[in-house]
Amino acid sequence: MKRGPARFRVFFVLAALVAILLSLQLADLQILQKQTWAKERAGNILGREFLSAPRGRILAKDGIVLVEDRMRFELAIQYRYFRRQHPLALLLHFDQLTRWIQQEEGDSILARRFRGGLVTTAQAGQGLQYQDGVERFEEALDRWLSLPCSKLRRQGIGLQLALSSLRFYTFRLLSLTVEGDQTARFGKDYQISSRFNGWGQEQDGLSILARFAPALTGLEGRRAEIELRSRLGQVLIAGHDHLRYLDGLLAKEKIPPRNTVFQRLDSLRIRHSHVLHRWLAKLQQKRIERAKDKDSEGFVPMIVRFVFGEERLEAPDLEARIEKRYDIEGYQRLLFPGVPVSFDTIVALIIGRQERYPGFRIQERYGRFYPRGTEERRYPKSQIYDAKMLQGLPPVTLGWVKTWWKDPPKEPQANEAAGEKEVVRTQDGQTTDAQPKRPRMDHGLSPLEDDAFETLSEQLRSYWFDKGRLSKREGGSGLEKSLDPILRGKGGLRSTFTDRLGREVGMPNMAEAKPGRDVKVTLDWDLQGFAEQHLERMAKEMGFGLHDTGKSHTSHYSSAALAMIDARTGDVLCMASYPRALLVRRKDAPDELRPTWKNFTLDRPSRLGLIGSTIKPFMAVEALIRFPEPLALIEECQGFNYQQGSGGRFSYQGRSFSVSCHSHLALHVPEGVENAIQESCNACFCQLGRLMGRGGIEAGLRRFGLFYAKNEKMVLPLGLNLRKPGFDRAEWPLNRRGIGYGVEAVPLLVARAYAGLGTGRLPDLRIVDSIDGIRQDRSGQDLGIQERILSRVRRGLERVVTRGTARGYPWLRRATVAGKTGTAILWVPGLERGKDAKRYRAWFSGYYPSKQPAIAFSCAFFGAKQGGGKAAAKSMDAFFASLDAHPELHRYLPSFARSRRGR
Amino acid sequence: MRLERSQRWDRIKERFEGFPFSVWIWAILLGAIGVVFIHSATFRIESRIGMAPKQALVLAILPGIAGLLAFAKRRRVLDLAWPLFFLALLTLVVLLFYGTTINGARRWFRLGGLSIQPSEFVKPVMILVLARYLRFEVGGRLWKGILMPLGLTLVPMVLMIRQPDLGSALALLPVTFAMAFVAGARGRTLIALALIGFLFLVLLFPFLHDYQKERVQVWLSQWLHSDGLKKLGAGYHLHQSQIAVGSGGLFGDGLFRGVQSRYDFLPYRSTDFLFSVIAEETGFLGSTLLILLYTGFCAWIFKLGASIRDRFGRLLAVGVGTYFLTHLWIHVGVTTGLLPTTGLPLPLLSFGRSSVSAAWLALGLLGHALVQRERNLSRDRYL
Repeated sequence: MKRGPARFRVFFVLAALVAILLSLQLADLQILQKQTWAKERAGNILGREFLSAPRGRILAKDGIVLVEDRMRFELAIQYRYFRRQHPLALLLHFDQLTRWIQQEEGDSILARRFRGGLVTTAQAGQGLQYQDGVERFEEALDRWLSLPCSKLRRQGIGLQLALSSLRFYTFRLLSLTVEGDQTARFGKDYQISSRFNGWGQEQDGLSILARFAPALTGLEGRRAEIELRSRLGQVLIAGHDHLRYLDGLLAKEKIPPRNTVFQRLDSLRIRHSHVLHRWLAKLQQKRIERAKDKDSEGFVPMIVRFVFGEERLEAPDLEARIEKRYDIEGYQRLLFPGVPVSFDTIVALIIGRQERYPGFRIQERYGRFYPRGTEERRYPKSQIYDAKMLQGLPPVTLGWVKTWWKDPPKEPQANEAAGEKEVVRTQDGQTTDAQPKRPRMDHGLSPLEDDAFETLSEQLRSYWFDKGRLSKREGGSGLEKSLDPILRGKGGLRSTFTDRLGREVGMPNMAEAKPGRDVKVTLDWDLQGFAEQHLERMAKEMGFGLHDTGKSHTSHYSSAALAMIDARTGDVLCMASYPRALLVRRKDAPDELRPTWKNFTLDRPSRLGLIGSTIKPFMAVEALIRFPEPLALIEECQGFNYQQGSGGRFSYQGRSFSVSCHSHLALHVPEGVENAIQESCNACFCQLGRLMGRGGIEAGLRRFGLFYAKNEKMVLPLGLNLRKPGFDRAEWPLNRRGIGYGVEAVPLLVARAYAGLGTGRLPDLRIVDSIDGIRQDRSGQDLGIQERILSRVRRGLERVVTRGTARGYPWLRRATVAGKTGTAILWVPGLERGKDAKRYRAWFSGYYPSKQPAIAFSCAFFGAKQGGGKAAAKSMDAFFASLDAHPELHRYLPSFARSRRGR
Repeated sequence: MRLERSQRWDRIKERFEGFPFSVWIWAILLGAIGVVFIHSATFRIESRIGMAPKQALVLAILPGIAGLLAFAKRRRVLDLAWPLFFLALLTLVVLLFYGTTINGARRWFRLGGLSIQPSEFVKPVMILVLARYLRFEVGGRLWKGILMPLGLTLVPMVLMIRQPDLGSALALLPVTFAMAFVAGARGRTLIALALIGFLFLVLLFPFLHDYQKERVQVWLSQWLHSDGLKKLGAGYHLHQSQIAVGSGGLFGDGLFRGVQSRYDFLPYRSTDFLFSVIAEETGFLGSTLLILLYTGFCAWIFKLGASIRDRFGRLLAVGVGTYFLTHLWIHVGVTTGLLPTTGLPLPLLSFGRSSVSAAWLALGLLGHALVQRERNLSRDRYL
């Protein structure tokens, strides 16, 4: 025992060692690794939520909402908030683990790891045992998840296959959960309204609620609560204003606020639960028996049960009893066993009690909604475009919004730090700086807490990327694309403090989202829709319909356009196009169509086409400006075709060339230019082309906004993406250019040029009427052409309809249309030149009424088998006739032209 | 009259002669620190608001009870050792069948609103019974001086492992080794036995519970720079604890301002991970100070033990000192990632009436060893 005190020294040394070792470890963690752990901690508590900004609405001329943003809901499952015993969590855990292992170590390690006990089947089965006492995992899965888990039995099939099966069904389970989101995105509003018997699909949330109001008036408090709960539960997510509607109705019925209602209903359930206890036990037994018979229920009820627990199962039975007791007509049963539960219901339940369901998060985001109707079309998930097929609306014009996932934010580059700026071009050609690009991260957000970004950039990068939350919506085509800078709002960012369960416990900072601005367009949507239908009908009459037949050799030319503008202001009234929708995607197209896919020219009114004889009035104006009597300077046309082998070629200025000039009267007497326009005399305008030369042709077109040099910039009207008109790349002789070959222009600009002819003033095209209610300025320029010259040309244009190439169309004459036909011949590639290979670009452009031009138009068919006089002019004649049959569109028909019946 | 008062005072002084007031003050100070941080860890959670007052109440009562133990007759204490040991074993056996399962472990008896964790009380009982056994074992014979005490320890250990409570079970071994060493066992023999025991543990690894294996794997993975496993399930506790400790920095976040604790990320923060709360809120300076305070406390116990001349008292003192030192090492080691995760409270500081009671019971044994050392020496037939 004498050694005792000496031995105690060891313990002093041990105590000192413990103190030193622990202090060293603390120094390592708290001093050396401080930053690392601080980042980790920030990652724990700091949440960042993007506040998506609603895009602005697009309204038609008369204020009809064509497209608007509405709130949509997504259900996100967050694994880390589940305890392991939760069956869904087990699958999520397993899924995450296998993914991780696969990513880190490859498939070969999978089995070893699995067997090693990270997650074993026995362990995975624990939660399921907890549910119903079933001992075996496979049986439990069979029973509760409806999975053919017999495959998983180790003695039957190999472990690898079993694992892959489990993985497959895990994914299936998860994807089904996500599928709810898809349903909600594409058909939510209709699902909601269609639940109510006999209600049309046009009903939206507000109108449904409006229908409730009278029914609720006479109800007592609790019954009204139940009524509200049962019905509003389904329309709760009808729109982003749902809370307002609900609160309003509750206030009206003197019912406590929303939370209280839910709480009271919960307590109501609890009070009634003992009454239903026996009945529920019986139900449970039945369900188990049914599961044994392999007639198991679907996935969605299963998910709901796992999500909400057995407690939630009490709800339908109780509500069924309430229904019986109160005999509520048209009552919709929710969560009834065996009936698939809608995604809306899940959302409605979770959104009211989110704090009770950690791990299930309802994410709100905006989506485009088309009040005038959409054609529901499911796209594969892989397609990221939020594409819509619009029914009865011109999708080409309106366009769609695409959603894309942005790459993780990158560190700023040197040139980005300089702060590049987007430029928005206005109608008067001035440029304004739009939102300057953020120097740090170009994610559409304002710079917020740069330090925090810097500290957390690594983590946020992975977080955003993994969760796919950094998304951006922008116009993909049509007006959505061209007006994107105006329509697109500015996204906001909200940083939050969240606790372990993901509950928000603080909000240190927020940059609010700024909604996009509303744009009212000049388009008359009735006229637009009417024109679309008309073009489609005419195209089919002309044997277009190429998309239906799928004939590749004709598919190049199957398009048509009709543009109508206000001749005085330049407001675009309609810009119809055929085909009016992308009927199939390129990859879905038949093989023979794929190589020429790009030739399906959509958005025709703003795409180029050879204008043919439509050029002639502008040539006439230029010639009359340059020469007092231009026809005196050219050879007289004898009124027949000057072709080689058919009487010789036409000679002028020492050169001979072929001219197809249909038989018509001699032109020199008494009104040569008028006659030349009326008869569309190619011999005359070929010579004028040569007479004026290239400069003269350019000047004539430039005067009416139809020519821009190669390097010359064209000022685009806000919202219209027009192609620059001018000469095409081919080398055409001057005589051919004089009759419109090699001259390209878009129908909208051709219509504007004819408006200039009719009014003497060239208006600027406009498609944006107002932005957020502020009207845009009208502008234009005086052509400065002598009235004497214009009147001669106008007379010629009037005669085109009365006696010339567009004669014989009563409605054109009746509406006193002054216009010009145009035809450019094209050959179908791959076919021998002959009648079958011949196609025309047929134009008819003009204005009406001739004395006081109000509307200018341009109608073009690309690929017609007849020329402008027989195709385009005929189409316009039919158009006026159809207009007359539609009183609501009579404003586009001169009063004197309307039929008595129409009037 | 004055004389009477003086005599009375002398009598009181005589009565309290040898009583370790310094240890009591030290322990109460540690307990008070514990109450403050238990409050910090729990005051935001409605269901746990009462934990700090409960701990404070226990702290107010237990020093007195422990003091009473210090004045107990040695004969009675010695007589109680074996019955207490067998009672403890019986309790552990009954616990396996009738205990309350919480988080998958059957470690508690629930009596009304009170939870009792028998394995905590086994620790001071083991100190007592080993001290009683080893007081005659001089010279450190292998069988009687080492293997027998080890065998005595293994019986409750096995029962504790069955609960499962591996941390508490393993915490008994250092106490046994330390007492055997002071009793005269050879250091080399003990080291060899410790190595054999470690190898035995390695061989036993495949037979551990899944969650225990996962914890060891996670612990190993941090040294292998493979953080992926750490964040998945089993590594959650360790990860969050390291976040709390590491982000404390030099000065900490300040009292009641620990983020990990405030936002509920730190699990079991009033018990098994209390040190993480302290480290987060007081930083390196505060936590190191606590470690120094605690190891100083243990060293003081050793110093007092070294001053005891009777073997039984000395063995009790070394057992108590090692008990506190082992718990400090495991608790702080776990929270900082030096050791695999296991649930072991920090005696005197962590919340847990069983744990605090056991700690004060151990201190009572120490007090007994110090108070009874001289005066009963000649009369005690057990010497």
